[in-house]
Amino acid sequence: MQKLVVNLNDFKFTTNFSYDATNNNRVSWQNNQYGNAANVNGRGSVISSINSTLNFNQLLNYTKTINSDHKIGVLLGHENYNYNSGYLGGGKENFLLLNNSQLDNAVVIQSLSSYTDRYAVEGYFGNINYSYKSKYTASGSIRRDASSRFAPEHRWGTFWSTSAGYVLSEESFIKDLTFIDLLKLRASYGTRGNDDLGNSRNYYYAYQDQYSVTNNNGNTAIALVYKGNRDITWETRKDFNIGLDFGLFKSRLNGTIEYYHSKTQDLLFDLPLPLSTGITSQPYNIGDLKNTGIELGLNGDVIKTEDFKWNISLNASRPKNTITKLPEQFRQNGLKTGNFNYMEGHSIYDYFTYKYAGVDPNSGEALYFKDVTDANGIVTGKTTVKKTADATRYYTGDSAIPKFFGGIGTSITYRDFDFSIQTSYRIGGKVMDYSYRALMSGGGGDWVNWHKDILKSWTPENKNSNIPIIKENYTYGNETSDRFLIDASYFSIQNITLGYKLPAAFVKKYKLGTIRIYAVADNVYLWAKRKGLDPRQAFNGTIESGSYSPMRTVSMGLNINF
Amino acid sequence: MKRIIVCTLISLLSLISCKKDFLNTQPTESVSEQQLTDLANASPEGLNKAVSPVVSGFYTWMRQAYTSNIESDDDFGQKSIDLSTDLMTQDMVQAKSGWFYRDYIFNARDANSLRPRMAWNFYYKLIYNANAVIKKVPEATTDANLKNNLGQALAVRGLAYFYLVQLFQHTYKGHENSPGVPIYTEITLKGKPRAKVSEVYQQLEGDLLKAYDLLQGYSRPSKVYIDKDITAGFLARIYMVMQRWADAAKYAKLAYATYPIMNEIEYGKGFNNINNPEWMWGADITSETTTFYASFFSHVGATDQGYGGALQLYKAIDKRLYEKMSVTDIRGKLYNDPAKTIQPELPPYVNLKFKDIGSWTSDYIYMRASEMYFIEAEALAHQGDNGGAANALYTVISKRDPAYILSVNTGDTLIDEILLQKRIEFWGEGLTFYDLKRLKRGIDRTNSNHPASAAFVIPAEDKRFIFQIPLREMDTNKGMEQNP
Repeated sequence: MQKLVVNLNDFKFTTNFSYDATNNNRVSWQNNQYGNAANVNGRGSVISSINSTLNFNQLLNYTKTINSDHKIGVLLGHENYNYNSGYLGGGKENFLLLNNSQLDNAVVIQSLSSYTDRYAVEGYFGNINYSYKSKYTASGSIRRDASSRFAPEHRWGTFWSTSAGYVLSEESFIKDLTFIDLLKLRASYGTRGNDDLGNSRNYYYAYQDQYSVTNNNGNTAIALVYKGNRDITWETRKDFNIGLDFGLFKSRLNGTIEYYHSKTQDLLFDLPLPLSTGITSQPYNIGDLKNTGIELGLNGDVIKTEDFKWNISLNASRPKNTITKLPEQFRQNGLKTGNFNYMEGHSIYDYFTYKYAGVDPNSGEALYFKDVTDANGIVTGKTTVKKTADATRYYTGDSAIPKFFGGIGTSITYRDFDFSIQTSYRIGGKVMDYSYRALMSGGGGDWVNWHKDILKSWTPENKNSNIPIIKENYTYGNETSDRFLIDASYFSIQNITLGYKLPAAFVKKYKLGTIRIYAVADNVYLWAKRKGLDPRQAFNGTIESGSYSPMRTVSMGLNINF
Repeated sequence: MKRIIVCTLISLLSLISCKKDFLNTQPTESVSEQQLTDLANASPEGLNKAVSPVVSGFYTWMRQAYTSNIESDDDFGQKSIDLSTDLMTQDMVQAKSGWFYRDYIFNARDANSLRPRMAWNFYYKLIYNANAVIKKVPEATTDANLKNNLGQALAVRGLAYFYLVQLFQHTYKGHENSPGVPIYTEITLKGKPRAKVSEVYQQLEGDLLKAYDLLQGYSRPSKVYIDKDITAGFLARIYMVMQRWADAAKYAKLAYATYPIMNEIEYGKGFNNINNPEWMWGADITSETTTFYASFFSHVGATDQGYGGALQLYKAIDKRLYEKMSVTDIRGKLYNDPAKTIQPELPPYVNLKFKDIGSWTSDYIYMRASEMYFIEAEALAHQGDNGGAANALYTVISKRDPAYILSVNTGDTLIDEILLQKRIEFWGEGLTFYDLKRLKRGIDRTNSNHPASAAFVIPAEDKRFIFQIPLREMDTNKGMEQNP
């Protein structure tokens, strides 16, 4: 029996401290000659804000090797995360000079505002890992976190995970297979927490009711702007993951294939309430969600010689999402939000909207489907109506989730030259094309542009069109429906880089490390189903009209290492 | 050396992580429920300190822009609903498409349109905040300040239900058993089904009568607040709808008791100043609280830089109504004449009644004394008191038309005269639509200056005169009954 000697030298205590701050200053000014602020003789505002995050952790490590084959590591830790932000802004009207936008140049105070926000997380954690030779690895961890977003009685959550790895390529029977360099099987199962409801600053204090303070001619006025919930707590995600890493043919072909099965419980969601209660929404832990998928990554050196190397890499993911549990009141009809309807068995991205039924050949008006029900409410058939307010919403059978997405890249190096292309792609899934919809209105009126497809709209001479008639003040022609769901597949060349490293001999003469000249093009090319559509922007199926695509840029540069 | 470092680090550790309040955060831009409760409990006047701001909140909400959290410039609180209803009568003309055009052509009442959702959300938020006050203040309180606050909360709740039931259903008489709107008298998260119209009126009448009692001793700081006179005004309005003429006349008299009728000079100043002696209740807008282009004057001021002026979405008067005014009527000068001599660059009949006082700080009008005289006149005429009715009418019209003589009409003819004068008097002030509904009248825009796409006839009590229940409510409130 080996005595286990605990040696102080096997312990290591580290502490890490990081501070990150962003300072934002903005001056905005509307001139007093033309436009919006002409009638108030100019309007301007000055805003200053600072966001900072502070991270502080203390880690105690213990590592021990037994019999040179067994390695054990234990980690105990504690960390704090503190986010602070401050805002100060003021605005005035009636400016004297045209070229001075500072507030002292104006005389009518229009607004003055300041506020701070704070969000904090504290956690305790521990981790054990074990490896035998370089063949087997196993680990387990546990952590306990508290978030300031939840009420004290629901603040803490406990999360744990385990994982194991088996490096098959260390086994003698695999070692005999010379074409395999690396073959590793790994699996893990763990839980982790999420406290984030979304982007609004109200969510920093998610459990508290919040009232805004406004000015009633010199007296304070307050009104409810956010309804909190003392009962909300951590959303938990249970992830199971199994993967195989491999390297073949002297590492000329490397890759990973992975299957994941993720179950989210107590999904945090801002639940819409009936407007008549006076409360727009309230956060809850409402249900369970399942995300599963397969991911593949491949990387291969097609040609590899001393002077020339050509590498291709590819990754692909195939995601799938299902809602597994919802509160009782939503079981029958689902929880409608935006263009989706959350129902058990469906994904959160299954489109649920009006179905376009084409154009009435006699009048040119748009038609939408509506269910016909008998006296008992059973659906007996379908009819068409002329506006969506009278129509029925259906699951269209489309989803915002792609069938596949990922990237393909290639790189070539020839002596001192390097060249690479990185692309990304998505196959499948649909997006609601609000931009196109805005450009296909049938009613005219001022300030509205049209897409050229409007030339094909219904007219008495063109009765077979699928595009409704244009006539003054006709507002039902382009209502949101499955007519505007468009394939969100895309192929994008994200980056092309060409570089040249100056010869080593030359560079050494000047006592430098390396010098590399390069040219880079970013956001080179995008192919999408409709010219002008950029589906890269949203995964959740919505692209607002009037949003910008990233610009194509070409730049050149010089890297010098000393 | 190592020791010093370790000690410093451990003490740093204790400084940061062991602070007890580390995870207790409070907002500073808004006020949390906890902070309000602490404020209420901090001193004996605490309850009033916590309740008064909520009452003030009623009045800021009434003039707030983007009440539905959507940046739509046709949402600026109560006056945006008033303008929308004025455009659903035959008296206001908007020749160009743009904001409010859909309301004008009756295309904005659908369940998935913004207007019904905006109105529904607007009044129900008001009711929520009123209930928050009513919940906190004991009903039998004797504290003067608390009584005033409770009174205002009840008045506001009654008013909100009055607007809701008129917008989402036909008028009271003949529809007492039709579905009205859900009634909430306390804070709850569960949706309620629609109550009957008669139940809604019972609720709001009760609230207003209680409010009237509680506000007897209230001396309000300014015309921004609701006092007993304003509450009497609300009661006069509801009794007209319920056709309880004696009560309507009684409360109308109580309402206008201390207010003069404005003179010709005041009348032409642009209807933009709360200091106008005849104004009873309004919103006092300053450079700090203005909502710029999402405001009433931005949409209605024809000589101003907003939508209704520089962007040419002019609001004009129906030609036939204009022609009903006599040549000596001062109200005729509030509209561009057919020969465009008053404002050559504007089309004929465009209103010049509303003018921005400057920098979008014009005040909004909610109630003025003349309306009470009209209510009294009509109510008396219904009771057969033609003399009293004619006198009440004369009190106002004598100040509008120097050539006007006491009316000798009687019965229905007198009532028609009163109603016609009321339409002329209150053009653009958000009253005409509600009168149209209670009188069970339709609209006829043909043969006038309405644009072709809006020049139609809608019969009385057509479904287009009521909004549909917003889709958002239908989706979240099980058992909610939709309007046709």
